[in-house]
Amino acid sequence: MLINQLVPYLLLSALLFSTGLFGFLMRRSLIAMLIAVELILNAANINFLAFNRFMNADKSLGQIYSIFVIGLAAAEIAIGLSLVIAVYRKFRSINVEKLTELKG
Amino acid sequence: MMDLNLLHISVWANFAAFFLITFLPKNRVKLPPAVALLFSGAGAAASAVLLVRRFGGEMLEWKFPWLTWNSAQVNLGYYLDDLSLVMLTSVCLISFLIQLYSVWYMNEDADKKRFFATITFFTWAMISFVVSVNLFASYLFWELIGLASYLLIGFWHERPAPRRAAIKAFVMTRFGDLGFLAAVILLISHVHNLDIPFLNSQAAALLGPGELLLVIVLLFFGVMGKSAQFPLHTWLPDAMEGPTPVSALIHSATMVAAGVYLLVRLFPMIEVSQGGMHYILFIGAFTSVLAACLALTECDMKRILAYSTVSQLGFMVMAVGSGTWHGGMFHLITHAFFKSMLFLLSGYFIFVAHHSNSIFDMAALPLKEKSKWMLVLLWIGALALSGLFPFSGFMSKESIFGYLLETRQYPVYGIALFISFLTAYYTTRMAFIVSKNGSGPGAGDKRDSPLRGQSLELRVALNLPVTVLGILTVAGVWVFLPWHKEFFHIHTDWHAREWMNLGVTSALVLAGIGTSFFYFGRKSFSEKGWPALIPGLDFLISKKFFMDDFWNAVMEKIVKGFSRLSVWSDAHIINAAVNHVGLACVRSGRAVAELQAGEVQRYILVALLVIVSIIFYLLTR
Repeated sequence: MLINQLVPYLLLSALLFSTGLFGFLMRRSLIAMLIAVELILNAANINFLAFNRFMNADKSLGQIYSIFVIGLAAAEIAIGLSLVIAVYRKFRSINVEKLTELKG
Repeated sequence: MMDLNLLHISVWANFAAFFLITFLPKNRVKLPPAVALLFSGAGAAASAVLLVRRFGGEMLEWKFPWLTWNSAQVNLGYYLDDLSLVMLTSVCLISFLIQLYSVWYMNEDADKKRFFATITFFTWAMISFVVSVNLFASYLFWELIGLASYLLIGFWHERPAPRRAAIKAFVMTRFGDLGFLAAVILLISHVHNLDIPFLNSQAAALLGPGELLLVIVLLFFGVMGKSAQFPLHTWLPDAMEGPTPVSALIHSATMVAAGVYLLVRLFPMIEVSQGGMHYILFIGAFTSVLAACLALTECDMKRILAYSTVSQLGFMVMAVGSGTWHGGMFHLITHAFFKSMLFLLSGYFIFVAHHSNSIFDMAALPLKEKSKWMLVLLWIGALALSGLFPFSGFMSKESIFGYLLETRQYPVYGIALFISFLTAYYTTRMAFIVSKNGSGPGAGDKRDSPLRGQSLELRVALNLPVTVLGILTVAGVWVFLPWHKEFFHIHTDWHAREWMNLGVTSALVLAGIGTSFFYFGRKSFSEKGWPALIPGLDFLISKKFFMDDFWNAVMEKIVKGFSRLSVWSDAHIINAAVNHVGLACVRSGRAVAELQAGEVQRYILVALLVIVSIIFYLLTR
């Protein structure tokens, strides 16, 4: 059965991670980039759970880490969104191509 | 100790004069000549005392180490044996007399300070060259001589001709100096000690025959430049653009004498190499004949004398190359005296002829009334240069002829006789024409003599040096004969061979004078004489045997071609390489600067690529 093997989970996670990375690099809006980061985090969660399910004896460890990551993501979104608002107030834009004040 | 002090005085007196004159105020025009005369007079007196005290005695060597590296050492100091003593005294004496004459000659010139400073510097460099113990120090002074002559030939640098002559002289002698420098480097790398006594006693044994020949050829290349030997002789006639006292100095005791003196100085080393001696002999003989031919139809008095200097120097070099350094040196000394006198007289005649160098302009002047004494001296000088008994030139030439006969070098003897004939011809041609006393074309110049109204001291400054030199030319050799006859290897016990030699040489000299009289001595006289009758010769002489054209072509084609190649390679290879390194930096900088546009996503991309490549590297290791 496909559902009882590790590889399909890893493929799904890799697809999700790549989608997230692509979105993070290509989207010009800060909000979209934050959403893409969520995808990356969830890809990592799937990896945790899949490896825990098929490779490890202790069934609770991966789940605990996943819950940690979900909590972390919630906190990250809260801080990230407030930063986006701060950026918008200062530059009247959330397009990253215009936020180039730190260049050398 | 006393002798050493005297030597110090005679060497450094001229330098002291140079130093003092340099710091004199510019508006005191009488001071520079006075200082120069005082100091160089003291130097000449000291050297004369030295000559009397030391001649024929022990040699004096005084030195201290100057530079040391690895096993090689360069000393500074004096090396005074009979040879350098004789040379030192004549240089000091002649340059003093010429400086005295300069007081008259440069009377109307504005820049006396510069003139006397340079001429004392010139004398100092030459004297230091003469007594230097070390060949490396000799080389340095050799270069200083070249520099001073450049400054003096181009003294009237407002006019273009002296400028060009000065540059020509400097470049051509420098070209020869390269050979001298190469010889010095070769010697120091093989022998490690450049002291002249050491070189003379040991160098030939330490060097292989091939290396020795190379050293001699290179050294002689330097001599060619300084002593105006073929093919580097063309600078000397052009150097006539300088003031006449400078010409006199360059042509007698300093500059050109330096080359021959160097040969004589290193004679024990040179003598070992048979090939080197033949090379020197050949170049000397060729130069001598060539220059004598060039003098045959010349009309410029100073240029006649210049060509005769080249010819006589070739004669000396030939004598050294044939093995008699005594004869070469003897002729160098006697020639220095009468040639400097002839030059000083030419300065006088040119002045009287309203600054014209042409002997035909002088022929138009009534010289017999106003300048009888100068004409007498001119004839003394001309006959001495011709080598007629009993003048000094006769003695020195006789010494060379005698040696050539004794060692049975008959071809060289024949060439020497031919040169002697030509010399007698062209010198007396000059003397005959100058003493025409207003009977030539353009006669009856009624302009006032420019000598009128000159003060007593100027007249002394004019007459004293030429008179002293004239007396030395006639009587000097005979008065000093008991002293120098051993040094110069002069025969006093005469046999059939010597008498025959005397007969042959005198006959040829008289034949030369007779030919000259036939063409120029009579009432109606020709301009060019017999060389005009030989087809082609006149043309060749007027083109100076194409030597100027040759050097121009060399300069134009080879040197300038090489310069152009250098410029091209500089622009297109070296400079282009440098430029492209810069451009590449700029371009790659621009390219990399794209990464730092401040766009956060690019930074992340780069970070990602780096991480991926690190992981890739770790996995595949």
